[in-house]
Amino acid sequence: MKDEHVTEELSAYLDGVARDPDGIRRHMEECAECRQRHAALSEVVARVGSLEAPEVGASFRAGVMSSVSELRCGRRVSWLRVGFATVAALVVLAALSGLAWLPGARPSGGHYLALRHTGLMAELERRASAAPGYLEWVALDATGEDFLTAQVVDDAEELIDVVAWASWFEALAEAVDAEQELDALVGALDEEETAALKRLLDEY
Amino acid sequence: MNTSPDWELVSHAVAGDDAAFATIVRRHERSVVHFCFRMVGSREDAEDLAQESFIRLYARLGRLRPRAKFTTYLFAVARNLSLNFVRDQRRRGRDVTGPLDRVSEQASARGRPDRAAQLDEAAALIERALAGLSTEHREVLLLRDLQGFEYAAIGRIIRRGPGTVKSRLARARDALRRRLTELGGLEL
Repeated sequence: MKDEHVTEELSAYLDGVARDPDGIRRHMEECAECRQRHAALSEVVARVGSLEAPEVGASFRAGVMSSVSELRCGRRVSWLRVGFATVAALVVLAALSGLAWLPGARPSGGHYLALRHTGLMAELERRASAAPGYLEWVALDATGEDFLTAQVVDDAEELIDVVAWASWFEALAEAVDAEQELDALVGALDEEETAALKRLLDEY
Repeated sequence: MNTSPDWELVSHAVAGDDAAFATIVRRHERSVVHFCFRMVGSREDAEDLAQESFIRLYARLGRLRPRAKFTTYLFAVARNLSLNFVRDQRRRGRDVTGPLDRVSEQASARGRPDRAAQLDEAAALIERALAGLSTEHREVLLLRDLQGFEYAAIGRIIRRGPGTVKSRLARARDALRRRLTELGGLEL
């Protein structure tokens, strides 16, 4: 059994999710090395679990609730940071897409991104039929749009998956939201990321 | 209200009950701050990130569906923001590799130097070891061994399948084990 596989199974055994826990237990009765490795992993888990949490002051919750109050009153400034480079990126994207819309303007239904959605949804349905659990994994991403900007260079394809997922699952009205979300995402990307996204969208 | 399940509190909050959302925050603030702290290394930044996590989740409360535990959503946002923060800091040439603020300092401040000394020695080793890990390894260790998430939930948070969670967690634990051994903090 490969060393890495042994560690993986011992680690899973610690968490009660090993494929063959009885087999592992029997093996450890005879193998001193695995017993020692198991003990070491147990110790590692215990030490991480013993890390002490920093104290949280009362001002923390007050700060959250203050922002919540502002949100409900519609006063909170969007966390979308639109700077010169972002505006420049929007202009670049607009030029590349052949559209004459100004930075900050909402894309129309005929925008090429909307057209891409049609292709994206078909692709998403194809993937979903092949792997039923696939869609559930990306459902949470709608709540963390900045994550998507972080991911766009590393794995731009997943960005498209997430937007398409948001569109499909949340029905037509929210498909509009998804398009707007993508617009917001585009606004938050730098030029390199925008170019990478554009290249990927072109493939659809 | 204080003992209501998270999703029940969410439905109250969506209906405009701020006290319900405040209960959610009070219930989970420490664990979220702790997670962010162990990811980014600064208590101040961790609190900012944790606050932002709650605020962003609040902004989307009406769109969330109880397909998973509420904390899965919460930590997904916190994890995302923490990763963004680390990336931004690295772009600015600041290497975020581990907790810069020591929890033991709080013990000293509370007039418990003996406790502070204990914390210092044990915490220093584990913190230094964690600091040497990649963010990919650190996050799965924190989600499982610190926060207690199940593999499926971790997979939803980091957007990977359960098989990847299993293998990544095993490698992370082994990497931490080797690091602790190098630092002289593990004799097994």
